[in-house]
Amino acid sequence: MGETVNRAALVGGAFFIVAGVLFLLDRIGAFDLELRVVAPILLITLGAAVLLGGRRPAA
Amino acid sequence: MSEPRDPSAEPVEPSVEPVEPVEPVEPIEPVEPVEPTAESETTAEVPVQPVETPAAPPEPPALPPPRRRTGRLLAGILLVLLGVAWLLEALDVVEFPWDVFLPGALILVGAVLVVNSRTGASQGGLMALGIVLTVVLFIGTAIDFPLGGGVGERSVTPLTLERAEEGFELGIGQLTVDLSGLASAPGGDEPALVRARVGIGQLVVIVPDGVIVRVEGKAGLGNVKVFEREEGGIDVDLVVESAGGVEPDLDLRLSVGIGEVSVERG
Repeated sequence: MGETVNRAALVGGAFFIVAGVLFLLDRIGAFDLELRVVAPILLITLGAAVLLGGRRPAA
Repeated sequence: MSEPRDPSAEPVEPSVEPVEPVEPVEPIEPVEPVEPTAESETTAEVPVQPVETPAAPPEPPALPPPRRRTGRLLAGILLVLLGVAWLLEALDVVEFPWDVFLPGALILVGAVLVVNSRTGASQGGLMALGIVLTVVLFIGTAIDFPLGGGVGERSVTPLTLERAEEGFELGIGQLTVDLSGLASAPGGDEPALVRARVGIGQLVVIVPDGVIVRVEGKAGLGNVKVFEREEGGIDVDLVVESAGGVEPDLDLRLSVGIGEVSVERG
């Protein structure tokens, strides 16, 4: 019996991990996240999440 | 039809002899009913009738796999921790490291989502929690909001350079940093670096007369005023170097998310 993968949870989880690491590095002062950088990155990631989350797994 | 009988004929004896009278029978004493015992019940033989064996029932449908409650468990734990930390900080019991906790919580939510994605079950609660955390952190980063700075009006007067170099921050309100109380004029090869930031509100820094300063003031949305120079708008970044290019005594890095930064002479 094949496993059913929740693609939205998978993509969303990966996005949260990346975002969390970036925010953490910013907060501890490893580098400076600026709005002009963060906003486009969020937009790109959101678009990628929509694209990947909407794909149906191959039969 | 039968023929009529002759009346002169002898009477026919009855063929049945008379029955002798029966002696009356003594009545039988009623027998007390015997209470059934367990033994008698168990030993009593019950007539067994042949029973037809019913056909085997169809197998019940396979039960769905147990739902993983990891997501709900994690969401609940995070919410309880958030509440407890908030309460303890509101009561001035501890100062909670929000700057580390919130990104850490977001990473944890993401990891659990990735693991639980294999179950195929809906993860709506965790997704919502992750989105809320992302929005909060994004706003905090966009306006340089100190998540653990507190709320209100605060005035600090550091008396030593070491204390001044530790930095100052406030979440929402007015923060006044009065550096005119420094015991000794900063010296040395490197200027003393003093950082201060306010999320939403006003940041006022007072520097002593005669001290050479370099100021870098930022505002996500608002004004930055350094002595006689002033800039306003969105993403304001005003840098005022020391007069004549002399090595400054103090290097001030000041920022406000939404509001105003003001540097004055004391």
